[in-house]
Amino acid sequence: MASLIDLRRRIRSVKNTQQITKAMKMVAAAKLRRAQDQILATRPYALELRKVTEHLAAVSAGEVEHPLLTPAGGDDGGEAGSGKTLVLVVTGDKGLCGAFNAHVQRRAEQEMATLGGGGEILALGNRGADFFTHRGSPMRGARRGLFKDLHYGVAQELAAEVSKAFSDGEYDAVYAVYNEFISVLSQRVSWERLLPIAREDVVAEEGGAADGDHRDYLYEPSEAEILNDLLPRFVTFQIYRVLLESQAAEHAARMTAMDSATKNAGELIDALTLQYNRSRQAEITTELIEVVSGANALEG
Amino acid sequence: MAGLNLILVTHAEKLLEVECSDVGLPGRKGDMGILPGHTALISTLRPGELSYQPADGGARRFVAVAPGFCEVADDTVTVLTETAAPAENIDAAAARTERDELAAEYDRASFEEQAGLKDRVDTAQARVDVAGRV
Repeated sequence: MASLIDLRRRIRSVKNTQQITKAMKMVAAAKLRRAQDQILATRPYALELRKVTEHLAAVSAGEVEHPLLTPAGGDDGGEAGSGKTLVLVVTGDKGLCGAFNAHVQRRAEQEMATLGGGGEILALGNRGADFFTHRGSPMRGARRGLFKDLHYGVAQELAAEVSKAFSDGEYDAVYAVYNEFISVLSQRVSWERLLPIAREDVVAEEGGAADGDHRDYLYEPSEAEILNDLLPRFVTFQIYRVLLESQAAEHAARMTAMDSATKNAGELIDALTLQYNRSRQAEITTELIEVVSGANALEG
Repeated sequence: MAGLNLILVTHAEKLLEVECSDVGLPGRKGDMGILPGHTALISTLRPGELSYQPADGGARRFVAVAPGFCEVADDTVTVLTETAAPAENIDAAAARTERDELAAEYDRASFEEQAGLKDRVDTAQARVDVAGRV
């Protein structure tokens, strides 16, 4: 049986760990709040952007072609494609957040396997960058420290690079794998196509225009030009949204992980304290017996 | 006469939602003035100066906007832009420094890079202009 001193040391060490996990949980909760606010703040923009894009896509259907849009015939309309697909893997910059990073990485690997040799990874976040570099997966590149200061400019830069590579014909499609924030307790790994933009994506909610009267808008400049201006923004915004979702999901995952770590530490402390008290009592009992039997021997 | 409802949204927040009697927008092809009863319109915006006359009187207000879009329908003007700064929130000196730095960068940049920088320079210039309106 472990000595009393050893037990006391272990209890102290577990308590220290518990304090750390508790602090991390609190920090994650605060950051989660901020990340959620950031997501909420993008809602009005998202709604308006969708509305305007919907109008345009509906009006211009069949008339306007844009390199970022799906060719009307379908994905592989016989064009000389590069046969390559770019996969944006969004992980966190740090660990200690449960299976958050592992889930995304596993999903990315599955999808890469499906793509055969045609997939290339752009890792966003330190974790994924390290993971895929060690694995030797085909990579386009990696962005590190992305989430330290996540702002719109980050998404703009990424979108510019990705859109350019796509329009230049380097890739046939661009996908993103990321953790979608559903609630504090659950995140879902999501696999989403960013490019080419499917017309259906843009006009997803047919019911949205259910008010019947499709107004006759005046366009300045032409529909096509507006669409040209709008689609790159649409892509940027999608990427921004994906990053924000992942950020919120990461904090939520960390919060949950640290919460259960704190609970586990508490249970361990209880068990160790019980053991400690038992051995202490056993020691006292032994000592008492020794004293009593010693006294008895003297009397006798 | 019914007024106009102006909604200004950036990707980070809903900056404005006000009643006003007229709105001036920096359209891609030229400035536009919107009055109540304007026909439905969708237009792109260049970096520039958005102005409006609040319905409750008072001075005309100015906002520097980055490139974006506007939609006019049912006497509601919705403006989407990447960044927007109301005149009273702009630090004129800082805006001027930023403009000068960007302009210098623009001058050094190659032809291809200039295309990407143009909007940023114009946005910075718009901020300087708008700051001078207060």
